[in-house]
Amino acid sequence: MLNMRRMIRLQFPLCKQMLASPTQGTRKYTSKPGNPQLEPVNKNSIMFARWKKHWYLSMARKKNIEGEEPEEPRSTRENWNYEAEFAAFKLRLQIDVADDDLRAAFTQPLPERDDVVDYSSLCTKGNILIHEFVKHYINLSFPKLCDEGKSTILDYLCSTKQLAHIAFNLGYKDFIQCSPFPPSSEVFAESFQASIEAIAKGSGGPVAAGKFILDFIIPQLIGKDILHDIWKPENPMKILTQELQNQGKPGPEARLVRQSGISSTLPVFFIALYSGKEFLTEGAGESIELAETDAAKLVLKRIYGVEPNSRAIMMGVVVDDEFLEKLFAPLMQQRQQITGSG
Amino acid sequence: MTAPGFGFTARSRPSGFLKTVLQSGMGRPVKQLKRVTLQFCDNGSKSRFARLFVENHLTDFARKHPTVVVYAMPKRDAMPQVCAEYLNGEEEMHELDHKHPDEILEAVETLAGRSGLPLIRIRKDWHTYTPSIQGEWHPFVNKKDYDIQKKIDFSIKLWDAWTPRKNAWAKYYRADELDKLTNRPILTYEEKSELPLGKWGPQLPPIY
Repeated sequence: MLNMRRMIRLQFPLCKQMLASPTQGTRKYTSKPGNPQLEPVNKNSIMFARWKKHWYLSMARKKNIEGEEPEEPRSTRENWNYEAEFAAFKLRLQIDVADDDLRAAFTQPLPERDDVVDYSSLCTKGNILIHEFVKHYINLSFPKLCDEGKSTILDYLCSTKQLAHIAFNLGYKDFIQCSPFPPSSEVFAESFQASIEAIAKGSGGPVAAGKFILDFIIPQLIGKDILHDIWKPENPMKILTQELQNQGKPGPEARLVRQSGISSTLPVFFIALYSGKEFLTEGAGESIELAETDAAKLVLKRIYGVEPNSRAIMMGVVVDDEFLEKLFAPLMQQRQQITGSG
Repeated sequence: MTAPGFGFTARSRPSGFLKTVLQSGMGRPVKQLKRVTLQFCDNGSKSRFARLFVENHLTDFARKHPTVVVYAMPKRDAMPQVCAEYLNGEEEMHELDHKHPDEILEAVETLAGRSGLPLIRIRKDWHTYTPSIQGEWHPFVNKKDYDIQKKIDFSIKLWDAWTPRKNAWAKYYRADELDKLTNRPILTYEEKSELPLGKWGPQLPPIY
């Protein structure tokens, strides 16, 4: 009667995990519960109920013809209480927002209805708020960086992909109402922007929205090399010559200083950069051009103050009150203007 | 081939490094568990302890974790199960048949403390995005250019143990951290003799 239990389990599906693929029997892989990732390498070793063979085959055939079942919104399931979920969402993110504003940020208007202004206005205002705050943050925390580099960081942090990633992992998917379901990355990003504007409208004001951005958008810079991963300049040597010109130094001069294993599959070239008689740095690569770009990138990192061993980016525990004051100064001014006028 | 645990070794299991969802922990703390659903039968013997848990412990659990939405779903002839849903979209189910309320509470609390990332073998207890500050190995690592013509100083010099030496790691300090070396607090002879392990060192127990 081992399979009766499986039958019962299939009758009361609570989560996706309980319905395994139809060609394979549901089975606990480990004696301890809660480890669905630990699957054996040889899946043929798992025996399924033989008397259900035809049912499994028909399910597989159905899946072959009809394809995967479309994903349904979470609210269609039995265990869903909107008010409780909504309250828990606000508590979880520690935000104080008017319910109507947040609900407007979550509902994407249908294309036939043009009279819904809330959503689009929230989106545009939130987008502007995010851009201004992140721009101000970058100006404060990367003072030596040039304008092109700053704009690339801004684009990276405020890109649709990044915002959608954050919104998904903060549980926005359960609340977003849109058609078709599931929401695309653009819808995620839009609703995230709108929710930030909703926070700015709440009791905390724009400062609360700024703190929200500081807590959730800015930490995406962790583990990223700003020059190598985010900016990716095509010709760093050109930028370096310009930077040296601005400093009034002679342009960079590249010299091949070391090389090894040129005829082998793993050659190494070392290129040193000099400006006048001053030694700038030494870069290595598999070809002379790669070594030169590497060396130029190393010098640029030092000039812009974004070396991997330079000071940590201002976020989390590192931020001090002085920095926070500077960061929130424009938002505080905004708030005073709002309260003063209203 | 038919053995259920065939090929199920530490090496063949998926493994990974420590990570957090969304760099959580840098900003405000966010509990990753969003929903807990408890399913049990209102009559069955297997669900007996699950019913006891709902009566005695569930409200306390919900009060302790206000950001988690808790559902209790009695269903005739259903197996006692708990289903946890996380912010990153992961779902996990535990079976609770014949489990004591304390065991159930323990299971639910562990679910509440987790991040929702898959439970895989963790290779190391720590993780860093820059594993090597030294850089990749190449044939010229540690290559020293010896100056053959330099004359070696063979004269004998006497050093006291407490005289400050040149810090060998000074070149690895940041420019704005060099004052840690230059402005080091220098102790007098009396202070040193009284406190042999330094002013900020551990206090030695008195010897009788």
